[in-house]
Amino acid sequence: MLLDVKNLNLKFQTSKGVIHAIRDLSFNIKQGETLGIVGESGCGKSITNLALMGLLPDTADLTADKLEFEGSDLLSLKEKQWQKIRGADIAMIFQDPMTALNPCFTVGYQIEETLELHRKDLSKEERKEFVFELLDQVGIPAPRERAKSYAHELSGGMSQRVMIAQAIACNPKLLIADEPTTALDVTIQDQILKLLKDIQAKNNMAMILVTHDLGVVSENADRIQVMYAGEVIESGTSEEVIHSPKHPYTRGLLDSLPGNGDTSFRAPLSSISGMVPDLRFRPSGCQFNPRCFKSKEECSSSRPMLNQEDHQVSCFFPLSEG
Amino acid sequence: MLKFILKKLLDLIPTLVGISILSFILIRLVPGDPVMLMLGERGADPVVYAKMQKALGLDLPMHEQYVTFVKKAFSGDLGTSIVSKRSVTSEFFARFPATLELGLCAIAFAAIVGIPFGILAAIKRNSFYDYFLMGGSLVGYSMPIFWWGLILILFFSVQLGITPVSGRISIMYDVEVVTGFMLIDTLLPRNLASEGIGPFLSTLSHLILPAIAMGTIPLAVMARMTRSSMLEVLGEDYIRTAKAKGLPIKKIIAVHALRNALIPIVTVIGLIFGSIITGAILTETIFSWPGIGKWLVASINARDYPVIQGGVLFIATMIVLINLMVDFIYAIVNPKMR
Repeated sequence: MLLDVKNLNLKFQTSKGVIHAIRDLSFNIKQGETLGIVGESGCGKSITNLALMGLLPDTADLTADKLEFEGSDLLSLKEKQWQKIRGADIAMIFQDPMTALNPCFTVGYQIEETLELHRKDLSKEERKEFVFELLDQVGIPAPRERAKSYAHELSGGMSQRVMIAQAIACNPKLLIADEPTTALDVTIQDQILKLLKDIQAKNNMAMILVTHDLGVVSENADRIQVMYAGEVIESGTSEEVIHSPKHPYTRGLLDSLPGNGDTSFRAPLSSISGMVPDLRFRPSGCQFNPRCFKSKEECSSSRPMLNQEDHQVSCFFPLSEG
Repeated sequence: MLKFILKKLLDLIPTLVGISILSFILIRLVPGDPVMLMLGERGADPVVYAKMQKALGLDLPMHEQYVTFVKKAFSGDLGTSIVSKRSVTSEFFARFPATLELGLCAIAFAAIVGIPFGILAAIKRNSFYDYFLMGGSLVGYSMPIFWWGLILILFFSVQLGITPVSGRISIMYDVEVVTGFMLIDTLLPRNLASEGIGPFLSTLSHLILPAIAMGTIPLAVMARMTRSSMLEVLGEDYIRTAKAKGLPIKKIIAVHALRNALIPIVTVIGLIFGSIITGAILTETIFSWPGIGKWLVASINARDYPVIQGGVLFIATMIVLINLMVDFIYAIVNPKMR
């Protein structure tokens, strides 16, 4: 097991009360595997990633029964030890590549900086050569010239390629891709996803692919985990989750995609009514019950837990196959 | 880049025309007559008065005086001081290095102290340090220069006796002036050979108080500016990227954040330079600093028209040139401007 998370809880103390951002989150990733994490905005996807990078703000209160990377505990790590892992063993790429690169430094410098931190075995010249190699590897033409470019001289797709080059520079075992294609043109999205897939296969790297686009995960992830209000509500192979969703929320997400649900011409896209709950005032019982079309009395009185089958779901009335 | 320089230099022309007209008219609107002041309070013989007025060209109507002034200015002649009978140009260049030296030291003091203060306040936001530094900078900003200068003299020079009261260098030393910048001149080999390190130390001790007096307001501005600029930058995505790379926080602040935070600060330094010259008039008067501020005040009191006209024109040109330099530095700091 590369990454093993058991009962992770994350709370924030704010002046307006305690926000329980992540509740009893458990998941794991094997080497070379892609885990897709799906959910609406504000369901705790991004904050989970920050927790895995040790980048939570000071106000966060993180507890877990288990948070292990390659068998070693992450919870007890000091900042100095985190710095050795970040960028080396666990790397991350972000949603908006244009703002994720520092405007004042050349992209070559920014990639080289990662190497300087984690690859002390390389000499200065070797590092420079390696930067060109990396840029070439992520499909940037004329890497020697591009290395001297600044972020504002590159397109969004190019910038994301640079971010990927920077992330894979030290051969990380886990790459966290936080909505890597959301800010890009549709035509570029596919190229970037394909690039990630290629690199992953070559380096046998595990990947967490966070997105709110079910289309993206269905094609690229081995397993999918659906999150709602800081909890996992359904988890299984891509096949299972996409083709036979068990949770009404997953069903709702799938139906809201164009081409799914009611496919008659010009039928309005279906949507899930209501809003994600304010995490300071969580509903009792199932978090989704106020919005659920199958909701019964039981749903608001007690909280469903993930069942322990391969295709996990936390629902008292899971949808049947088909 | 060349285009950029040319454009800036062309901008200089309307600025200078405007300033020359304004300074020309304004000084003539002030009551007082240079000829009268020269001939003494008891009044003079009308014949002598008229002769004098004619000699100075002050009998002509104002617009003709201006045309004469501009014509001469184009040939590089800004006139002769009515009081000292020396050319305005040579008087200006004899004094400007003193002001520039003081101004640069004041800015350096402001930047060296103010920028780290701002960074510290930003990193320790809403802590005791933050409130203390920002409160202190507000006090510094509100301090009138003439009052602050006098307080400094009273405390450090009169009470403690550790710094000289006024002037540029102790009169014990005989230093040959080459560049006009005393800090440089005293370190020239020939001056070092004849006088040793003493003159340099004396110059330095004379500089400290006026530089602090002049630099306090810029310091406050820079500290507040750095704080807000730094806070903004620290929330940017690329800071998160830098953290995700595994960079230590000190390096993130010193390299990634500071470089971006400096961009607006460079602009502010350019603006401050203009106010430094204005501040020079007060500071130089308090500390008897032989620069252009003191020179201008004296010439205004004497209604020395050519000096005021020429001096103001020179100062305006210098401010524009300094701002041009700041624009260059800005382009170096900010890659988007290249």
